[in-house]
Amino acid sequence: MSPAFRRFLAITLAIEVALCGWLVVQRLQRPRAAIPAAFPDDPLLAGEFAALAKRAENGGADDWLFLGESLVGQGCYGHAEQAFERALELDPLSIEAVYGLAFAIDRTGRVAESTVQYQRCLDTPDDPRSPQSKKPFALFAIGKNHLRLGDVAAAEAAFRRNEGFVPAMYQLALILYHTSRPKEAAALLARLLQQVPLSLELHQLRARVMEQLGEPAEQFAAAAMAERSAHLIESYFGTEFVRPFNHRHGFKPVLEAYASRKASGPPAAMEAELAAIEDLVRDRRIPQRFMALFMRAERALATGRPEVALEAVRQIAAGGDASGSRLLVEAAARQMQGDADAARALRERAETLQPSVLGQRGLADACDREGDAAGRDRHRAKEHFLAAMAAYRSNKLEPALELLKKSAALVPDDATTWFHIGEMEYHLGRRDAADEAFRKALELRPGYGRARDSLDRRAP
Amino acid sequence: MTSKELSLVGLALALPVATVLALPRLPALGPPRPVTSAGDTFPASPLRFERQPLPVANEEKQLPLVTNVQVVDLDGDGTAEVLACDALGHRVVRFDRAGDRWKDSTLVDLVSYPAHVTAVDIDGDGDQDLVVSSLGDIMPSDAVIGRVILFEKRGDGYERHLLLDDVRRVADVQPGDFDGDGDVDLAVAVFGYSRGEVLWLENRGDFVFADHVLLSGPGAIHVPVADYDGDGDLDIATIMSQDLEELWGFENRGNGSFRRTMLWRTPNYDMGSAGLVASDLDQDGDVDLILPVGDNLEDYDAFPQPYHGCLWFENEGGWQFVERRIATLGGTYAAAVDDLDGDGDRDVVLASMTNDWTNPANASLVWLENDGKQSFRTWQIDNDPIHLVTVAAGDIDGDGRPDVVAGGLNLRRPYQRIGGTTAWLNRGLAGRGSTGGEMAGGETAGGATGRGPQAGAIPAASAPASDAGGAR
Repeated sequence: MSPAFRRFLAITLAIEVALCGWLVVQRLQRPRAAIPAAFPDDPLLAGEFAALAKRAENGGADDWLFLGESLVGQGCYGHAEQAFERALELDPLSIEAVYGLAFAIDRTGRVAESTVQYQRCLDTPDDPRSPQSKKPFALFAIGKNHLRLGDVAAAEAAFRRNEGFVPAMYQLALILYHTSRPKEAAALLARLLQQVPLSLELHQLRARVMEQLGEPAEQFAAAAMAERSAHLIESYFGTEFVRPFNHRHGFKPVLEAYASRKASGPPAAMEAELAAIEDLVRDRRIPQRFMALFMRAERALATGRPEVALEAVRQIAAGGDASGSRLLVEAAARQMQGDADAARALRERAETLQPSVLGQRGLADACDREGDAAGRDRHRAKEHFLAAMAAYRSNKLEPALELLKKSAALVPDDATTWFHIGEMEYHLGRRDAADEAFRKALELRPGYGRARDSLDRRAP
Repeated sequence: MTSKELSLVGLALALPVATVLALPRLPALGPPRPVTSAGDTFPASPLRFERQPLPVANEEKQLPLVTNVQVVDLDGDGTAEVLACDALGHRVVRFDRAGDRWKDSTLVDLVSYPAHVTAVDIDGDGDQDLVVSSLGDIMPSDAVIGRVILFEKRGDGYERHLLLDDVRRVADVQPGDFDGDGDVDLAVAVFGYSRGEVLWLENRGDFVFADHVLLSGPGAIHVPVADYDGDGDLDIATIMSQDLEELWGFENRGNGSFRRTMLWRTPNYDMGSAGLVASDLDQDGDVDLILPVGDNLEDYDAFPQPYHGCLWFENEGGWQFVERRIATLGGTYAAAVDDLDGDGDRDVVLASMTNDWTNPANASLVWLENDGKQSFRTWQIDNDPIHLVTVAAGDIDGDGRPDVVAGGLNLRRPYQRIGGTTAWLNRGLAGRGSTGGEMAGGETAGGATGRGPQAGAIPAASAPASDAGGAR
């Protein structure tokens, strides 16, 4: 070997040692993932998060992002913040990581600091893999943050920049209302209602705006529309953001998997799955223990074992639960054992606690079997009434009216039923029929304020 | 080439390959970055309090949902009892002190998620009836499931009268003769969720009440009744806290006519108002309002925010109320007013539902010592139990000092330091005797309404509607 080659080899080796050593040190020095020391309420989480942390430490930006989202899902905002920051170090253009970081900071009460990160979202390109842009949500959060800090003008500017995003426009309309600009608010609301005709919030706000403008008939009409409008405009997106991550780890996916397959899965496998859940939650003071007991009772009833269901009910009751759900499970078990009187008494208690369509139907049927016509009619009327109200609040006016009339035919002296018949007729544009029903309600209950108001204030 | 030289060449080739292969297997040894934590801890109270749980049967197996506590002398025997709304058991529980122990008994049951109980002689027969606000659901719900149920005292028991249904979740009912006809009418907070209202119910005798709407909108938590304008009749106030954050006054104009005024609002819709207490805090002869703020059940896992704490609205006359912040405490959910240290001024007790519970030192119960000039210093009473949503003050052990009672709503993680109804007996300042506090309960506010990502013990106004738990 020539001296020159020897020199070259020595230099090469020296460079290699330095470079490889530097790489090894760099690699060893990368930060460990910060995860909570313990998850006392869910024994599954410790193992799952240890694995996630290891994956992130050995992985890339997406792994840190996944860890951050999972931590947010468990309410570990401070830990999540660190994971998102690391994800951003590895991939500064990850808008998901920027948004996650902003949210984690936001939830730990550092409002102005989170605004800076939400602003950074606006300057980061969207992820083409994501079906939805994060930018309107970030801009919305900026507006809300300004409101949290009391800077209404800055909030208004942020919401105005978010044109086309209905939740932001609703916030803008609120600001216009609160800053005594009702005409501008009314115009904006009219435009938004064309987009979302059955929006509860838009109609509620319109009622207030109309009051501000001194338009009582319009105010009343808007308030009446609010009652049958089911569309909700989000005023806070944190819950939606967190929900998928909240259901990703621990007990929740296990319980959800069981619930989704309990009816269709092989009985032996489902039994084993439920037993495994019971082992996990046994003797723990957590809500999942009681969910598992309800699942056990339900399974026992489905497989014809009322005594097992009653033992589950006994444990639920020992946990202090006196809910209608518990009473109905017990009623079903007693019925299965042939004790119809006990079952009926339990159902009556459950219905005293909270009437329901199914409960009333069951009681009406029981009365019918026993030849109790008055009881049957009373419960059947209530069943029709409750079903009518559900239809009404889903904006199904004709079916609601039909059910109410059936209810009134069975129990004609119920003022509430007549009031709602009036409401349906009003919404269907039959004012005379509405007035007649409101008057009937007032006749049955002279102090019925809503019936009186409807007669006094309805739109001409 | 010698073998040594060959080895060097081999090393030069192998080193980078080995490094590349080894790198992914190397563990991360860098220290994790510091994690942000928050929440509030305060100096230990110089006033000594002895914690005493007021347990119900099997409580050690339960996740109690206590939505409201009251200190009242229900039977007029000169001894105060504790009433608690047990939303898990759908009942109202009475606790009586027997020596050093407490005995629980169910006063009324089959009330769907009671949010508040008010003792009042509504039929004028000389005994205390109970008016119970029924939420119908502690989780966020816009369903028409609320009720006002009167339990008329009859002998040893109570007879049930349904005063109001076909309304959304009811969070509070307070009595007062609003139309000056000598009987007891009722102010009602229908919290709801997306829809709600404030009503007054005109007593027409024989347990028949006529409803009158005062305000439409969701999120009415409490309706404290007092003569706010000093004109001799009873007015109503309320805090609306669901979508907006507004403080309203309803001025009694006589004959059951009211004029409503928005007394205060904040553009911070996340403020999280959680209750309302009427009390003459500065003892200047008019009735002020105390507002605990800190409901953020809209999150699955709530965290303290910098604006949580307690606001005092000083009554300046003419329906003008001036806002003053008197405390900062993460997750503040309820307040009560009494002269805890017996120095003649009015102090405030605050309970926290959602302080940062990962720090076990953080406060769940504090009191604010009034220096007599309405400058307050916060003292920590306890950090256990947590998730407190309702608090009351009053002398429950007959020693002349006002004690504190609070209730826990264990809907959310962490399921640690769990408590139902808990008392803190006021043992006074070291070396001092009785402070001479009043016998009856102090002014209180708080309770669960379930707001949820939103739910307010109060009905967590803002909880995630699916599974997180929490009333507004």
